[in-house]
Amino acid sequence: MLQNPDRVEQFTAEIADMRLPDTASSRDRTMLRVGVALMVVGVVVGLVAYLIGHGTTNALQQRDAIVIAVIGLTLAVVGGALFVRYSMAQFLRFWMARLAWEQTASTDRLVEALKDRD
Amino acid sequence: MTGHRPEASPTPLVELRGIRAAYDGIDVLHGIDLTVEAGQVVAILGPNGAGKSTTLKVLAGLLQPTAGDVVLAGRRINGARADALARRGLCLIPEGRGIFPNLTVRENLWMVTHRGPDRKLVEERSVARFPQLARLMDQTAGTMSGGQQQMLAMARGLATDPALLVLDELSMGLAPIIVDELYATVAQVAAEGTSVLLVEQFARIVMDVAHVAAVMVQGQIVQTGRPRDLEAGLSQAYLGA
Repeated sequence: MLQNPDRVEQFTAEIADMRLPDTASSRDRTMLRVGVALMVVGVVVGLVAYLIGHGTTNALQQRDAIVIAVIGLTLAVVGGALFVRYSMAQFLRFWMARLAWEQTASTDRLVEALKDRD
Repeated sequence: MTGHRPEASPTPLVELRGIRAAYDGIDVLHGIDLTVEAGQVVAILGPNGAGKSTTLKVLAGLLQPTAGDVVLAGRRINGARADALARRGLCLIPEGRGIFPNLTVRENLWMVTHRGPDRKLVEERSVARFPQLARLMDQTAGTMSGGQQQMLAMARGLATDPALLVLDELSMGLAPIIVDELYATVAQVAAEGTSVLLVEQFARIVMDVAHVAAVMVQGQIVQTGRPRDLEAGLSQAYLGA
Protein backbone atom coordinates (compact mmCIF):
# COMPACT_ATOMS: atom_id res chain seq x y z
CA MET A 1 0.00 0.00 0.00
CA LEU A 2 1.14 3.48 -0.69
CA GLN A 3 1.94 4.85 2.75
CA ASN A 4 3.48 8.20 1.95
CA PRO A 5 1.32 9.92 -0.67
CA ASP A 6 2.69 13.27 0.55
CA ARG A 7 6.19 12.33 -0.62
CA VAL A 8 4.82 11.32 -4.02
CA GLU A 9 2.88 14.57 -4.26
CA GLN A 10 5.97 16.56 -3.31
CA PHE A 11 8.02 14.68 -5.91
CA THR A 12 5.36 15.26 -8.54
CA ALA A 13 5.24 18.98 -7.74
CA GLU A 14 9.04 19.32 -7.79
CA ILE A 15 9.33 17.48 -11.10
CA ALA A 16 6.57 19.67 -12.55
CA ASP A 17 8.43 22.83 -11.46
CA MET A 18 11.81 21.61 -12.67
CA ARG A 19 13.42 23.68 -15.36
CA LEU A 20 14.73 21.62 -18.19
CA PRO A 21 17.82 23.33 -19.55
CA ASP A 22 19.39 22.67 -22.88
CA THR A 23 21.68 19.73 -22.76
CA ALA A 24 25.20 20.73 -21.77
CA SER A 25 26.65 19.86 -25.15
CA SER A 26 24.22 22.05 -27.09
CA ARG A 27 24.83 24.96 -24.70
CA ASP A 28 28.58 24.49 -25.08
CA ARG A 29 28.23 24.55 -28.85
CA THR A 30 26.12 27.71 -28.73
CA MET A 31 28.53 29.52 -26.44
CA LEU A 32 31.47 28.45 -28.60
CA ARG A 33 29.78 29.98 -31.64
CA VAL A 34 28.98 33.15 -29.69
CA GLY A 35 32.65 33.38 -28.70
CA VAL A 36 33.83 33.07 -32.30
CA ALA A 37 31.25 35.63 -33.46
CA LEU A 38 32.31 38.12 -30.79
CA MET A 39 35.97 37.77 -31.74
CA VAL A 40 35.15 38.44 -35.39
CA VAL A 41 32.86 41.38 -34.54
CA GLY A 42 35.52 42.81 -32.19
CA VAL A 43 38.18 42.75 -34.90
CA VAL A 44 35.80 44.32 -37.45
CA VAL A 45 34.80 47.07 -34.98
CA GLY A 46 38.51 47.74 -34.31
CA LEU A 47 39.20 48.06 -38.06
CA VAL A 48 36.22 50.36 -38.52
CA ALA A 49 37.49 52.50 -35.64
CA TYR A 50 40.90 52.68 -37.27
CA LEU A 51 39.38 53.81 -40.56
CA ILE A 52 37.25 56.46 -38.80
CA GLY A 53 40.26 57.78 -36.87
CA HIS A 54 42.54 57.66 -39.95
CA GLY A 55 40.04 59.42 -42.20
CA THR A 56 39.66 62.60 -40.18
CA THR A 57 41.76 65.33 -38.60
CA ASN A 58 38.94 66.22 -36.23
CA ALA A 59 40.18 65.41 -32.70
CA LEU A 60 36.64 64.78 -31.37
CA GLN A 61 35.95 62.19 -34.08
CA GLN A 62 39.32 60.57 -33.40
CA ARG A 63 38.47 60.30 -29.72
CA ASP A 64 35.15 58.66 -30.66
CA ALA A 65 37.11 56.25 -32.82
CA ILE A 66 39.34 55.41 -29.84
CA VAL A 67 36.25 54.59 -27.74
CA ILE A 68 34.86 52.43 -30.56
CA ALA A 69 38.20 50.65 -30.85
CA VAL A 70 38.23 49.91 -27.11
CA ILE A 71 34.70 48.48 -27.39
CA GLY A 72 35.90 46.30 -30.28
CA LEU A 73 38.86 45.15 -28.22
CA THR A 74 36.59 44.31 -25.29
CA LEU A 75 34.29 42.25 -27.55
CA ALA A 76 37.27 40.36 -28.96
CA VAL A 77 38.66 39.61 -25.48
CA VAL A 78 35.27 38.43 -24.16
CA GLY A 79 34.78 36.34 -27.31
CA GLY A 80 38.24 34.83 -26.88
CA ALA A 81 37.50 33.96 -23.25
CA LEU A 82 34.21 32.28 -24.21
CA PHE A 83 35.95 30.36 -26.98
CA VAL A 84 38.68 29.10 -24.67
CA ARG A 85 36.21 28.27 -21.88
CA TYR A 86 33.80 26.27 -24.03
CA SER A 87 36.27 24.68 -26.39
CA MET A 88 38.12 23.29 -23.37
CA ALA A 89 35.03 22.26 -21.36
CA GLN A 90 34.94 18.80 -22.86
CA PHE A 91 38.64 18.29 -22.23
CA LEU A 92 38.39 19.57 -18.66
CA ARG A 93 35.48 17.23 -17.89
CA PHE A 94 37.58 14.32 -19.09
CA TRP A 95 40.52 15.57 -17.06
CA MET A 96 38.40 15.84 -13.89
CA ALA A 97 37.01 12.34 -14.40
CA ARG A 98 40.52 11.00 -14.87
CA LEU A 99 41.73 12.79 -11.73
CA ALA A 100 38.88 11.30 -9.69
CA TRP A 101 39.59 7.84 -11.08
CA GLU A 102 43.30 8.10 -10.32
CA GLN A 103 42.57 9.20 -6.77
CA THR A 104 40.29 6.21 -6.26
CA ALA A 105 42.86 3.84 -7.74
CA SER A 106 45.55 5.34 -5.52
CA THR A 107 43.39 4.82 -2.43
CA ASP A 108 42.72 1.23 -3.46
CA ARG A 109 46.44 0.60 -3.80
CA LEU A 110 47.05 2.15 -0.40
CA VAL A 111 44.35 0.00 1.20
CA GLU A 112 45.82 -3.14 -0.40
CA ALA A 113 49.31 -2.21 0.82
CA LEU A 114 48.02 -1.64 4.37
CA LYS A 115 46.18 -4.97 4.29
CA ASP A 116 49.42 -6.73 3.30
CA ARG A 117 51.22 -5.16 6.27
CA ASP A 118 48.58 -6.58 8.63
CA MET B 1 8.98 -9.89 2.66
CA THR B 2 6.37 -10.18 -0.01
CA GLY B 3 4.38 -7.02 -0.35
CA HIS B 4 1.27 -7.07 -2.36
CA ARG B 5 0.77 -4.80 -5.28
CA PRO B 6 0.16 -1.20 -4.25
CA GLU B 7 -2.92 0.62 -5.42
CA ALA B 8 -2.14 2.17 -8.75
CA SER B 9 -2.15 5.96 -8.71
CA PRO B 10 -3.58 7.75 -11.76
CA THR B 11 -0.14 8.82 -12.96
CA PRO B 12 2.73 6.35 -12.87
CA LEU B 13 5.84 7.59 -11.11
CA VAL B 14 8.10 6.42 -13.93
CA GLU B 15 7.34 5.73 -17.56
CA LEU B 16 9.96 4.78 -20.08
CA ARG B 17 8.48 4.97 -23.56
CA GLY B 18 10.34 3.50 -26.48
CA ILE B 19 13.75 4.29 -25.01
CA ARG B 20 16.70 3.81 -27.30
CA ALA B 21 20.24 4.54 -26.22
CA ALA B 22 23.72 4.09 -27.61
CA TYR B 23 27.35 4.22 -26.59
CA ASP B 24 29.61 5.75 -29.24
CA GLY B 25 26.97 5.21 -31.88
CA ILE B 26 26.42 1.56 -31.01
CA ASP B 27 22.80 0.91 -30.00
CA VAL B 28 22.39 -0.89 -26.69
CA LEU B 29 18.73 -0.22 -25.90
CA HIS B 30 16.20 -0.98 -28.61
CA GLY B 31 12.91 0.52 -27.46
CA ILE B 32 12.38 -0.01 -23.75
CA ASP B 33 8.87 0.42 -22.36
CA LEU B 34 8.56 0.21 -18.60
CA THR B 35 6.25 1.63 -15.95
CA VAL B 36 6.73 2.00 -12.21
CA GLU B 37 3.66 2.94 -10.21
CA ALA B 38 3.98 4.91 -6.98
CA GLY B 39 4.84 2.59 -4.11
CA GLN B 40 5.73 -0.28 -6.40
CA VAL B 41 8.92 -2.37 -6.53
CA VAL B 42 9.90 -3.21 -10.08
CA ALA B 43 12.83 -5.47 -10.87
CA ILE B 44 14.64 -5.56 -14.19
CA LEU B 45 16.21 -8.96 -14.57
CA GLY B 46 18.49 -10.26 -17.22
CA PRO B 47 21.91 -11.58 -18.07
CA ASN B 48 25.08 -9.56 -18.11
CA GLY B 49 25.17 -7.09 -21.00
CA ALA B 50 21.39 -6.97 -21.47
CA GLY B 51 21.27 -3.19 -21.01
CA LYS B 52 19.83 -3.12 -17.49
CA SER B 53 22.29 -0.61 -16.06
CA THR B 54 22.04 1.52 -19.19
CA THR B 55 18.28 1.72 -18.65
CA LEU B 56 18.88 3.03 -15.14
CA LYS B 57 21.44 5.54 -16.43
CA VAL B 58 18.91 6.89 -18.89
CA LEU B 59 16.30 7.20 -16.16
CA ALA B 60 18.73 8.95 -13.80
CA GLY B 61 19.82 11.45 -16.44
CA LEU B 62 23.34 10.09 -16.75
CA LEU B 63 22.85 9.09 -20.37
CA GLN B 64 20.65 10.82 -22.90
CA PRO B 65 18.39 8.54 -24.91
CA THR B 66 18.72 8.68 -28.68
CA ALA B 67 14.96 8.19 -28.96
CA GLY B 68 11.94 7.78 -26.72
CA ASP B 69 10.63 9.58 -23.67
CA VAL B 70 11.57 9.46 -20.02
CA VAL B 71 8.49 10.52 -18.07
CA LEU B 72 8.60 11.14 -14.33
CA ALA B 73 5.40 11.82 -12.43
CA GLY B 74 3.67 12.63 -15.71
CA ARG B 75 6.29 15.01 -17.06
CA ARG B 76 8.68 14.30 -19.92
CA ILE B 77 12.13 14.98 -18.50
CA ASN B 78 14.47 14.13 -21.39
CA GLY B 79 17.59 16.28 -21.03
CA ALA B 80 17.18 16.81 -17.27
CA ARG B 81 20.45 16.83 -15.43
CA ALA B 82 21.24 13.96 -13.08
CA ASP B 83 21.92 16.29 -10.14
CA ALA B 84 18.60 18.09 -10.67
CA LEU B 85 16.76 14.76 -10.53
CA ALA B 86 18.73 13.68 -7.47
CA ARG B 87 17.78 16.88 -5.67
CA ARG B 88 14.12 16.14 -6.29
CA GLY B 89 14.25 12.64 -4.89
CA LEU B 90 15.50 10.23 -7.55
CA CYS B 91 18.21 8.33 -5.73
CA LEU B 92 20.47 6.07 -7.78
CA ILE B 93 22.77 3.66 -5.98
CA PRO B 94 25.07 2.59 -8.77
CA GLU B 95 26.82 -0.67 -9.36
CA GLY B 96 30.08 -0.39 -7.44
CA ARG B 97 28.31 1.62 -4.70
CA GLY B 98 29.63 5.07 -5.56
CA ILE B 99 31.07 5.80 -2.15
CA PHE B 100 34.15 7.95 -1.59
CA PRO B 101 36.77 5.42 -0.47
CA ASN B 102 39.16 7.98 0.98
CA LEU B 103 36.52 9.66 3.17
CA THR B 104 35.21 8.32 6.47
CA VAL B 105 31.74 6.84 6.78
CA ARG B 106 30.60 10.02 8.53
CA GLU B 107 32.00 12.23 5.75
CA ASN B 108 30.38 10.03 3.11
CA LEU B 109 27.03 10.50 4.83
CA TRP B 110 27.53 14.26 5.00
CA MET B 111 27.71 14.28 1.21
CA VAL B 112 23.93 14.17 0.99
CA THR B 113 23.21 17.15 3.22
CA HIS B 114 22.59 19.23 0.09
CA ARG B 115 19.18 17.51 -0.09
CA GLY B 116 18.02 19.25 3.07
CA PRO B 117 18.69 17.15 6.15
CA ASP B 118 21.54 18.38 8.33
CA ARG B 119 24.57 16.29 9.23
CA LYS B 120 23.15 15.04 12.52
CA LEU B 121 19.85 14.00 10.97
CA VAL B 122 21.60 12.15 8.15
CA GLU B 123 23.72 10.26 10.67
CA GLU B 124 20.70 9.44 12.84
CA ARG B 125 18.65 8.18 9.89
CA SER B 126 21.56 6.07 8.67
CA VAL B 127 22.25 4.46 12.02
CA ALA B 128 18.55 3.81 12.55
CA ARG B 129 18.49 1.95 9.23
CA PHE B 130 21.86 0.20 9.64
CA PRO B 131 22.93 0.07 13.31
CA GLN B 132 26.27 -1.48 12.30
CA LEU B 133 27.34 1.86 10.87
CA ALA B 134 27.37 3.48 14.33
CA ARG B 135 30.72 1.95 15.28
CA LEU B 136 32.21 2.54 11.83
CA MET B 137 31.56 6.29 11.62
CA ASP B 138 35.22 7.30 11.75
CA GLN B 139 36.51 4.45 9.60
CA THR B 140 37.71 5.18 6.08
CA ALA B 141 35.04 3.83 3.75
CA GLY B 142 37.56 2.17 1.43
CA THR B 143 38.80 -0.06 4.25
CA MET B 144 35.36 -1.57 4.93
CA SER B 145 34.05 -4.85 3.57
CA GLY B 146 31.90 -4.88 0.43
CA GLY B 147 28.76 -5.45 2.48
CA GLN B 148 29.52 -2.57 4.80
CA GLN B 149 30.21 -0.33 1.80
CA GLN B 150 26.89 -1.30 0.25
CA MET B 151 25.15 -0.54 3.56
CA LEU B 152 26.83 2.86 3.59
CA ALA B 153 25.71 3.53 0.02
CA MET B 154 22.14 2.55 0.87
CA ALA B 155 22.14 4.47 4.14
CA ARG B 156 23.41 7.57 2.38
CA GLY B 157 20.78 7.27 -0.31
CA LEU B 158 17.91 6.56 2.05
CA ALA B 159 18.88 9.45 4.34
CA THR B 160 17.76 11.79 1.56
CA ASP B 161 14.18 10.48 1.84
CA PRO B 162 13.98 9.54 -1.84
CA ALA B 163 10.69 9.28 -3.68
CA LEU B 164 12.22 6.81 -6.10
CA LEU B 165 15.07 4.50 -5.17
CA VAL B 166 17.02 3.07 -8.09
CA LEU B 167 19.33 0.17 -7.26
CA ASP B 168 21.88 -1.25 -9.64
CA GLU B 169 23.07 -4.78 -8.85
CA LEU B 170 22.80 -4.56 -5.09
CA SER B 171 24.09 -8.10 -4.67
CA MET B 172 27.23 -7.67 -6.76
CA GLY B 173 30.18 -9.36 -5.07
CA LEU B 174 28.45 -9.83 -1.72
CA ALA B 175 27.90 -12.87 0.47
CA PRO B 176 24.34 -14.28 0.34
CA ILE B 177 23.68 -13.47 4.01
CA ILE B 178 24.55 -9.80 3.42
CA VAL B 179 22.43 -9.74 0.27
CA ASP B 180 19.45 -11.09 2.22
CA GLU B 181 19.95 -8.38 4.84
CA LEU B 182 20.13 -5.64 2.21
CA TYR B 183 17.05 -6.87 0.39
CA ALA B 184 15.20 -7.02 3.70
CA THR B 185 15.95 -3.31 3.98
CA VAL B 186 14.71 -2.76 0.42
CA ALA B 187 11.48 -4.56 1.33
CA GLN B 188 11.15 -2.38 4.42
CA VAL B 189 11.76 0.80 2.39
CA ALA B 190 9.17 -0.34 -0.14
CA ALA B 191 6.70 -1.12 2.64
CA GLU B 192 7.14 2.45 3.85
CA GLY B 193 5.94 3.60 0.44
CA THR B 194 9.09 4.43 -1.49
CA SER B 195 9.00 3.30 -5.09
CA VAL B 196 11.91 1.10 -6.05
CA LEU B 197 13.32 0.23 -9.44
CA LEU B 198 16.07 -2.31 -9.20
CA VAL B 199 18.29 -4.20 -11.55
CA GLU B 200 19.50 -7.63 -10.63
CA GLN B 201 21.38 -10.32 -12.45
CA PHE B 202 20.54 -12.99 -9.88
CA ALA B 203 16.82 -13.18 -10.37
CA ARG B 204 15.81 -15.41 -7.49
CA ILE B 205 16.99 -12.89 -4.92
CA VAL B 206 14.26 -10.41 -5.82
CA MET B 207 11.35 -12.82 -6.22
CA ASP B 208 9.99 -12.02 -2.76
CA VAL B 209 10.59 -8.28 -2.91
CA ALA B 210 9.38 -7.15 -6.33
CA HIS B 211 5.75 -6.57 -7.29
CA VAL B 212 6.59 -6.59 -10.99
CA ALA B 213 9.55 -8.00 -12.89
CA ALA B 214 10.74 -7.31 -16.40
CA VAL B 215 13.10 -9.64 -18.17
CA MET B 216 15.57 -7.89 -20.40
CA VAL B 217 17.66 -9.49 -23.10
CA GLN B 218 19.89 -7.76 -25.64
CA GLY B 219 18.50 -4.31 -25.05
CA GLN B 220 14.85 -5.28 -25.11
CA ILE B 221 12.27 -6.19 -22.50
CA VAL B 222 11.02 -9.59 -23.53
CA GLN B 223 8.67 -10.37 -20.63
CA THR B 224 6.89 -8.41 -17.94
CA GLY B 225 4.73 -9.71 -15.14
CA ARG B 226 4.63 -10.94 -11.59
CA PRO B 227 8.02 -12.38 -10.59
CA ARG B 228 6.66 -15.85 -9.83
CA ASP B 229 4.93 -16.00 -13.21
CA LEU B 230 8.18 -15.23 -14.98
CA GLU B 231 10.29 -17.68 -13.05
CA ALA B 232 9.84 -20.49 -15.55
CA GLY B 233 11.00 -18.43 -18.50
CA LEU B 234 14.03 -16.96 -16.82
CA SER B 235 16.52 -19.70 -17.58
CA GLN B 236 15.48 -19.56 -21.22
CA ALA B 237 16.10 -15.82 -21.27
CA TYR B 238 19.45 -16.16 -19.53
CA LEU B 239 20.65 -18.95 -21.76
CA GLY B 240 19.48 -17.17 -24.88
CA ALA B 241 17.51 -20.18 -26.03
